[in-house]
Amino acid sequence: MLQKITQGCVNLVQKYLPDALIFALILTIIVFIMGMGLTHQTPLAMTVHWWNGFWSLLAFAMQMTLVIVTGSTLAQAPALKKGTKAIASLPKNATQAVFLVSLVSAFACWVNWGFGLVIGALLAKEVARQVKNVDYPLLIAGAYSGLLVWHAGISASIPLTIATSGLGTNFVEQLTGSIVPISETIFSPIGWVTSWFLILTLPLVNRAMHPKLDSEVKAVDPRLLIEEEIIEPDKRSFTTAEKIENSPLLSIIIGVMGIAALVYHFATKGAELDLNVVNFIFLFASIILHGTPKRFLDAVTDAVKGTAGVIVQFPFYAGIMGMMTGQNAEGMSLAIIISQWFVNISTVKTFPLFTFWSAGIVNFFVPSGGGQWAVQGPIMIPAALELGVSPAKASMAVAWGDAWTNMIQPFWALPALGIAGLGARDIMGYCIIDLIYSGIVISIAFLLL
Amino acid sequence: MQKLSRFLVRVVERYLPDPLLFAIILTIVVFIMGIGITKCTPMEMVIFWGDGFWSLLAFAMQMVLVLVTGHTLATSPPFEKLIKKIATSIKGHAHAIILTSFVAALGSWINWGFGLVIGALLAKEIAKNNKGIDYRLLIASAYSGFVVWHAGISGSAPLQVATEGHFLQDLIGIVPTSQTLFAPWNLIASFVIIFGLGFVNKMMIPPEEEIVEIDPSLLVEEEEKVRKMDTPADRLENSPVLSQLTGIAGIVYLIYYFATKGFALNLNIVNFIFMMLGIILHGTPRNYIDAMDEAIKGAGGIVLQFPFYAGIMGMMTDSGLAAVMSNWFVSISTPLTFPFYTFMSAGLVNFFIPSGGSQWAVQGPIMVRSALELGADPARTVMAVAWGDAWTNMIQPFWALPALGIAGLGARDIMGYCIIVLIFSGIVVSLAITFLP
Repeated sequence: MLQKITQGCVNLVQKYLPDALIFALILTIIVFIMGMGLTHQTPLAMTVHWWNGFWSLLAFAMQMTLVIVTGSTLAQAPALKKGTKAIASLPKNATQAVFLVSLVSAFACWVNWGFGLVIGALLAKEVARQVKNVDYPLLIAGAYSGLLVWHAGISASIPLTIATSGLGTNFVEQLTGSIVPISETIFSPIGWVTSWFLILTLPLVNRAMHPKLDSEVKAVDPRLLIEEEIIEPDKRSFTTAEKIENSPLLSIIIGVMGIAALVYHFATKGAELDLNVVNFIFLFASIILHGTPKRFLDAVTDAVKGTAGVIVQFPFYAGIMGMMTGQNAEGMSLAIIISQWFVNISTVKTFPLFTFWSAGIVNFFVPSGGGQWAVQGPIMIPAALELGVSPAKASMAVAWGDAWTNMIQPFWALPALGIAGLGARDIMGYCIIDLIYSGIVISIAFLLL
Repeated sequence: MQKLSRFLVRVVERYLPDPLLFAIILTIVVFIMGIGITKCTPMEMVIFWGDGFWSLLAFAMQMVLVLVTGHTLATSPPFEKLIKKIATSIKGHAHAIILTSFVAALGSWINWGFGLVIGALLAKEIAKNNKGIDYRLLIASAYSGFVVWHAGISGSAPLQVATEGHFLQDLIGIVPTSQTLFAPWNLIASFVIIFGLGFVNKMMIPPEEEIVEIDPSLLVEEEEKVRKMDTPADRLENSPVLSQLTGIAGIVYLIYYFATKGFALNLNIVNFIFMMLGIILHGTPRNYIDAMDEAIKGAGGIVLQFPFYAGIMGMMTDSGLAAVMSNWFVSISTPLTFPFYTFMSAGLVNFFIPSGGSQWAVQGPIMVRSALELGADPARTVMAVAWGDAWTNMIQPFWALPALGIAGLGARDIMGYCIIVLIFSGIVVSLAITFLP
């Protein structure tokens, strides 16, 4: 039954979902028209909002590019390959493989989303190499589905923001005068019970989606898995330049510096892991583990090919964000209108649930978690206070909604797809099932917990 | 002259490793200098380095975008047609060299990613359609246009100091391009080089018996890609509707921008122009995506080296090394000679830091401080670094690699000719930067 529905979804997506760039272009047009219709702004005003957003994610786009480059470079390092190989050889058959990849990546995303985003994809690729007859797109979808729990995990940006005093985006503190400790958000039942329920059951859902018949399995394109043989060059004919490139000396020196900087960071700031730190760890781990600069550079040249998607599409998403949040003369923006519509129909009981849904819709257009909070926080928190709902719960509702619809929004999947060598339409069919399942789980959680 | 060029090519090939290694070596050198000269502890230097490491993320992305948007524009169908048209209208060897040099230089002045690629594509097409043309000199001519890029409207340093929030804003504020790129002396120098280059290159045409034509194996036509049109998704990807709608929105904004803000260029607006033009001229989204996949292959160096140079910049400025070095420059120069010395030093530094944006990050803080102390013009200083950075690219093959890849040649085939261009442009820039207003 589930497999029939899944195959239906997969086929539908294969047929109708175009390249992720087209998706971004269509969203751009939809938001453009919605802005004119709902907030009564002129086409020129919408174009200006578009531009104002267009380049606002440059640094973030570079971070995501580096996630792809450092992640796939590290995956090519000999020592790491051995490690993932050992894990990847655990599953005996295809369904176990899907289960393992989903479980590891969901847990990793709960710990740190940047880390989880890469680890899942890397593991999936290695598993595809080891296990016969496993559906490769499903493996990558499984790796990506772990991202569902990130915004209730310990790297969750909204809960961490409202737990920090003095931030410009701590809307709760600005209204109530007190911060919300993470014991009321991440480690409240709606946080940890829901996320751990998902971490443990999502792998089962993904596992059940695996096609029974071998003929329906989409195996990995063997070209993606070609092991680069390391050809030992003839050392005697080296020029000075080649000698430097093939000597581990520089790699070791710069590696030691990298480790020193990391030790200092963790000693003074605790276990703080933002995207920069994750990239730093991956970059220096791969410099050290590749041994010589030459091998490292070759791996980078290969890795950079997966980054085109991020580089082209991020400006468009930033432009969409600009239009979603661009206000008209009365201070109304599209995001505000959507959020308020949900507030108007809410009661104390249904408010968290409706907030979750509205956040899911807004996230579709504003995929970046920080951007979404900047738009929705100032509307949802005052509404929650007025209705008598705890601001902690309202914040978690925005957080869950933000993570939820990522399943059908290719934005966050781009790094994983870049590493995997797949397109959005290969995995989105499976992700729809994950979206429906997790939507039901989280909705029930908001009504009960 | 031929001996000199052979010697230089040998040195470059023997002793210049990948630029990333220079970034690492320079990191170590600056690290030690910080300990020795400014008396910082090793731990302090590590902290400065770590703080700086990710400080230029947005700038790095802008640099990647200059490359890929320029590259994709050059490979779009209208430009391919234009190239074919030019290539079939060539009359004689001199005509080919002069025209290639001119197109490449003008292209590089407009956008360096664009100029590098269009020059190489044109050269190859000319060689394909005409007999008796020295292929090495032709490719060298295509690459020699690159010498003007940093004085043109995609120049990293001048555009960066014109962009809100640039890293020297505390010192010099926002410097509009009217004081840098569109200063009279810079326009004159660019003009002389863009038009003179072809005639300089023409003088190097070898005698008939020494001409090396294009290797016929390079002329195999690539197969036309067959587009799948099975599903609605495919049809959407291959339909021009979305591309053109996006392009129109882009053009509307550009008109609005230039109408309300005047001709104020910065990195974001330049990248926007090239991205929108590329999307429009490639016709369909699928074509644009494919062109982008091809263009991105050259971006690895920028992505990887930028953080390291940002780290070096962090160490230089936070430890006080930048101030020490700028004092040294102040002590040896006068306001008159300062731009010239800056140009020369930037030329030297460029050997080790081929990426213009990275070089600006490292050298900019030093030179701008010196200029302010000396009372020299900061805008001219920015351009001196810019020219120096582009100048020695004629004998540092890093940026020639994409062009050489298209052409199927090695660095040693073209570097000899490029030395002459180096001398010619060095004289023009030195005179202009010192004496012209």
